Amino acid sequence: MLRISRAIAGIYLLATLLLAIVTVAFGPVGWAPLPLPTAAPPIRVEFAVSSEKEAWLRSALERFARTNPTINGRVVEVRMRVAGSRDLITAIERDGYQPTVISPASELQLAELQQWRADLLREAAQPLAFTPLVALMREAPSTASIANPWQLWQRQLPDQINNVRIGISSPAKSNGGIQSLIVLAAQYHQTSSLTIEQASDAGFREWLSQLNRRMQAGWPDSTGALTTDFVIRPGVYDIITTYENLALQAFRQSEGRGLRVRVYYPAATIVSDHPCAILTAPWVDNAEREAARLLRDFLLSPAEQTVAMREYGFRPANPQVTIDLNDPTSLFGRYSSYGFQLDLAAQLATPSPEVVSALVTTWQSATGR
Amino acid sequence: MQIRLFKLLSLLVALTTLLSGCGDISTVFDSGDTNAITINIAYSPEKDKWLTEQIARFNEQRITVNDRRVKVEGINKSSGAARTEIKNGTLKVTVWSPSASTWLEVLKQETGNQNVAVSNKPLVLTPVVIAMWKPMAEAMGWPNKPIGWKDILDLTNDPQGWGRFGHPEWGRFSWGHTDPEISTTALSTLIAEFYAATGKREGLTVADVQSEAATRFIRELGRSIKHYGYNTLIFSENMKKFGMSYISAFPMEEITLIDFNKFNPPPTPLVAIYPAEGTFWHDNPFIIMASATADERDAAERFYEFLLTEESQRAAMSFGFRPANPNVPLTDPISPAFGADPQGVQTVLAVPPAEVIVAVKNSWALNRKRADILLVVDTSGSMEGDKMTMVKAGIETFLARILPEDRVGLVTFDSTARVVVPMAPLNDNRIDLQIAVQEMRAAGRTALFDALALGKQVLDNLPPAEDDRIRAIVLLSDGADNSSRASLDEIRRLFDESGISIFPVAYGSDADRQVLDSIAEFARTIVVVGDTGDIAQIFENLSRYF
Repeated sequence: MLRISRAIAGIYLLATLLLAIVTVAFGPVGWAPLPLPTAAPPIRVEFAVSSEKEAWLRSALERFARTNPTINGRVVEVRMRVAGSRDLITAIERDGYQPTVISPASELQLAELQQWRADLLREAAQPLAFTPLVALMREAPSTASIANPWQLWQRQLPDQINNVRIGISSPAKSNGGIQSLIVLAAQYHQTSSLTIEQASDAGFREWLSQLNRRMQAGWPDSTGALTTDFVIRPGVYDIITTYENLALQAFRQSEGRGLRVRVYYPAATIVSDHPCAILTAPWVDNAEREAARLLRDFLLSPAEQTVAMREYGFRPANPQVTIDLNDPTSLFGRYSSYGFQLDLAAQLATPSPEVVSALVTTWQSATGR
Repeated sequence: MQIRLFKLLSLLVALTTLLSGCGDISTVFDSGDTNAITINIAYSPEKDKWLTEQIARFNEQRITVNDRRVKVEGINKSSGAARTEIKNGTLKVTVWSPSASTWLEVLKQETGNQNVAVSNKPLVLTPVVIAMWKPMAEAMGWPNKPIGWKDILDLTNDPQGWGRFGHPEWGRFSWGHTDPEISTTALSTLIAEFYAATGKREGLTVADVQSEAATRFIRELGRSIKHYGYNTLIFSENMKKFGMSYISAFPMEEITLIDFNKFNPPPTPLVAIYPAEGTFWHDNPFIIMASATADERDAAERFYEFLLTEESQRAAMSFGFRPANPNVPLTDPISPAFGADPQGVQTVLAVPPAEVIVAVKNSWALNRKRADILLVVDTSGSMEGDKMTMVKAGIETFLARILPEDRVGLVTFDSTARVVVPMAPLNDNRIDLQIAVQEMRAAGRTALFDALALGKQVLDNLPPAEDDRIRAIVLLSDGADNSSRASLDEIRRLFDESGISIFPVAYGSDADRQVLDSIAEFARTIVVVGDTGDIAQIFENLSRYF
C-alpha cells in the first residue's frame, strides 16, 4: 500500500518537475505550458490629450489604474498620447490616428474636427477643467516700467516693446497661440466678438507684421514648451502668453530658481474648456465607449477635480469643487497674491472655425510662417 | 534509499517550481539583446561624466519599446567635430547632443538640409560667462556693478592695465580664447563680442559682422589675448596651476567654472561675470536625427524622459549643470559658494540666423590675432630615426594650419644652435621652410638651452609688426640637453616677463620630461607629446594655440 502511494506521489512529483523545467527553460513571465482558462482580454482606451494637461493626466491615470477599473469583468487599460491640440486633430485627419477619446485644450479644435468628420462627435463633449489665457511677466530691469503687458499690444505699438522679449506660441500649431491671436485681434478691433472681416483686416495684418519684427525668439510650437523655457532660461523671454494653470505651476517652479514673476489678465480673456469627447467612430466599440465613460467620470469626480485644482492649477469643471484662495495647499491659495484673478472681468465669444482660419491666414501672411 | 530519493525529488520539485515562477530565466544568463533597439548618442565632452552614469543606469533598467529592449550607447565627441563628421557622413547617430542648438543651425546651413532633425529639446543648461579671478572681479566692481565686454575693452586699451583699478602689480589685462571652429563657448563668445560691438541684443546681421566698427572692436579686444587654444582644458589647467599670473580672465561655460572651483579648489577662486551686454544659454539639446527609424525615435524619447526625471536632473546639477526640468529647484553647486549666481543671467542675446553664425565663424581667420612663431627643432643624434620622421610630419601639418600672414622661422640645434630659415610671413617662406625641414638630419649633441636663447634673440630682433602679435616658440625635442653653455635657470630668467610662450613638443619614451616640463612650467604652457597617437591631430590642435 505504502509502495503504491509512493509510486503515485513519485509520478506526480516527476510530472510537476517536468512541467516546471519546461516553464523555466522556455516560458516567458506568465507563460503556462498547458492551456489554462484565460482571463477576458482587457479593454484598451486610447486617450489623446493636449500637452498642458499632461502632468495632471499622467498622475490621474496612475490613480485610475489603482481603482482596478473593469467593465463586465474586463480590465480597462488606458494608453495616453500627448501632443499639441492642433496636432492631435491633424493626426486624426491626416495620419489615420484612431483614438477612443480626445481632450484637446479647447472646443476650437473640436469645431475643426466637426467640420471634417461630424460623425465622430455625435456624443456631446464634456469639459474637464477651465483655464483662461493670461500673460506672465518676469521682474527684470527690462520690464520695470511695464504695468500690464497686455497694454503693450496697443494699435500703436509703444517704444517700450523694443526693450522686452515677448513669447507667443505659434497660432498655426498650438491652441495657446490661436487664443493669444484671438485676444490680440479683439484688443486691436476693440470687440468681444470677432468677424471674418476683422480677422482678415489689412491694418491688423500690418500690426502683426510689426509685432513679428519685435519677436526675435520666434513663435515656438507649443505653449507648454514656451512656459518651460520661460522658467528654465530666464532672459530668453520677459513676457509670454500662456494658460493660467501653467502660470500657476510656473510660480512654484520659479520659487526654486529665484525668479520673480506675476500673472496678468487681458481686459477680456478667452477660456479653454478642455473638452473630453468620446468618439463615435467605427473603430470604437461599445465596450471601449463604456470604458472611456468610466475614465471620464473618474476625471470629473470631486476627488480628481480637487487634485487637478490644487496641484495643477486647473479651474474645476465639477461644480462640487470650489477654489479656496485661503487654502495654502492649493496653487491658487498659495499664489493668490501674484496677480491672480478668480473672477474674470469679461470673456470673449469663441470665434467660429471660419474666423479662426482667417486669423491664422492673416498671421501667416504677416509673419511669413 | 527510496526515502532519500523521494526527498531529493521533492526538493528538486520545490526548487524548480520556485524558479518557474520567475518565468523565462534564459534572460538571466543570456543578455536577450538580439532583438534590442540600440540607439547611439553623440554628446559634447562636458556631459561625459553625467551621461556615462545615466546611460549605465538606463541600460540596467531594461526598458522596452514595442517589446524590444532599448540599449543606449554613448559617444563622447566635441560639438564642432561631431557636426563635421555628421556632415561628412562619417558619424551616424540616433541622437546628437552638442553643447548648444547653435550647432544644429550650422549643420542645417552647411548641409542645406533644414530637415536633418525631427526634434530638439533641452537636456540641461549652462550659461556662457566670463570667468575672472575673484580679487580682479572685485576690483572691477563685481558683484555690485554689471561688467561687460565694453569694460574689458577699456581695460585692454588702458596702458595702466590693472593699475586702472589700483592694482598695477597685476600687470596688463590678459585673457584666452578657444577656437570657434570647434568650441561652442568660443563661438558663443565671439557672437557675443559682435553683439557688444554693435550695441545690439538681437537682429545681428552679416553686414554687422563684416562692418569696420565691429572688426575694429574684435581686433582691439583680441590684443589682450595671451594665446589661443583648441579647448578649455589647457586654460583651466593652467589657471589652476599658475593662478592669477597666467591670465586675468577666460570665457567659459558656468559648469566649467563650477567644476574648477568645486574639485581640487584653487586658493583664489574664479567668479562668474554674466556679461552686461547679454550672454547665451547653452541648452545641450537632445536632437533626434531624421535618419532614426520609428522604433529608434520612440526609444530615444524614452531615454529623454529618463534623463529629464528629477533623479537624473539632480545628478546633472551635482556636476554644475542647471536642470531643464522646471520642477527641479536650483541648489548647490549653482551658488555663490562655487562662483555662480543663480540669478546672474539677466540679458540673453538672440541666437542669430544660421548665415550670421557661419559669417561669425568665418570672420575668425580674419580677426584673430596674428602670431610670430619660431620653430626650434632638435636635430641632435638622439633624435635619429622615428623621432626625426615624426618631427618632419608634424611640422608639415602644423605649417598647413598656420595663417599666411603669421611670421614663421626655423632654428635647429645639435651641439650648437643656428638660424636655418629667418622669420618671415609664411606666405613668403613656406617653401624654404619645407625644404629645410626635409633636409634636417640628426647628429651631434644637444644644445637645447642655447637654442632657446637664440630663439629669444631672433624674436626680439624681429621688426615690430603693425599689429599686436602672439610671440611663441614651438620647441620640438627629446629634451636631453648635454651641450649648452646656458643653464635652465638662465633660460628661465631670460624668458621671465618676455611675453614669449614656449610650447614644448616631446619625442620618444626616453624624452627628458623633467626639462621639458620645467620649460612648460615657467612658460605657463603645456608639454605636447608629439609621437604617439594621431600626429596630424596633435599638430592641428597645436596650431590652434596661435
